[in-house]
Amino acid sequence: MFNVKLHLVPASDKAIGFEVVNAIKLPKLRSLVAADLVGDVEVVGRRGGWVIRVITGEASPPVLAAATGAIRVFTTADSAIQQLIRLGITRFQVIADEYESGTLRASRPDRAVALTQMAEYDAWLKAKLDGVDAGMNAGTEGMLSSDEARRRVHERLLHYKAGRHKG
Amino acid sequence: MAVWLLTEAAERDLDSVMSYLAQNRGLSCIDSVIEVILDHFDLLAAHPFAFSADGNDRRHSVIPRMPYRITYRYVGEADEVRIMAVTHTRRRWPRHKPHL
Repeated sequence: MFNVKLHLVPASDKAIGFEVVNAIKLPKLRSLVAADLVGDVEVVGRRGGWVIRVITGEASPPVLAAATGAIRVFTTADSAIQQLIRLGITRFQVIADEYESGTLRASRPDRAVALTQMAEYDAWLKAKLDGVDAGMNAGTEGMLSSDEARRRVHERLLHYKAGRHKG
Repeated sequence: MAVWLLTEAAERDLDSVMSYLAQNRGLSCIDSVIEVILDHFDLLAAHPFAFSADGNDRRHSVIPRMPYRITYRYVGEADEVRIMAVTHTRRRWPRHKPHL
């Protein structure tokens, strides 16, 4: 079963604390599974996630890589298992000896702040528009005709211009 | 063609725009910016359905090449476009509770 010549690609990502020599991409692994040429498969815990290692009998078993060639690290063991099931692999070993919880990606506090501000803005705008709607429905929100609005806006323009000239 | 009406809330928004421009951009650009906004109101009155309504039946239009979003409601029975708000698309939103 293991006497198969695998077309492996060099692993380009060793940032997971995992000495990887070979990597295998998903289409290749899928074709090997379809040909019933895959022996054991391991879901191996590493720093911040899980990788899928395919036991082929070679000295350095290949690890599943993304299309870019980077080692594919699954955030949860569940997502790695789902990937294996999609491939048709339902029996495998889970090795968590060296698993360390954590995240691989650096946190983005700036994005968190931006998202919070966006949510605050949405709430603010919604409250403002709801208020205008309520006023219109109750008849308390004054409304200016276009001519009257233009006149008042131009009055305000003159006010600002006059204020600046005085200053 | 529909007519547009300006709510007092939107008038306050316009006043904020003018105040901001006067303080930060100089007087020279206020006229042109305000005219573009008012002309956009005319455009909305001419084509009230140009922008799709959200779940609250409000429509939002961003003025081309300007950082202002107009929120309006089209009232079919009266054939009116009611301008509800003029907001800055990139403004740092208020941290305090807004005056509604």
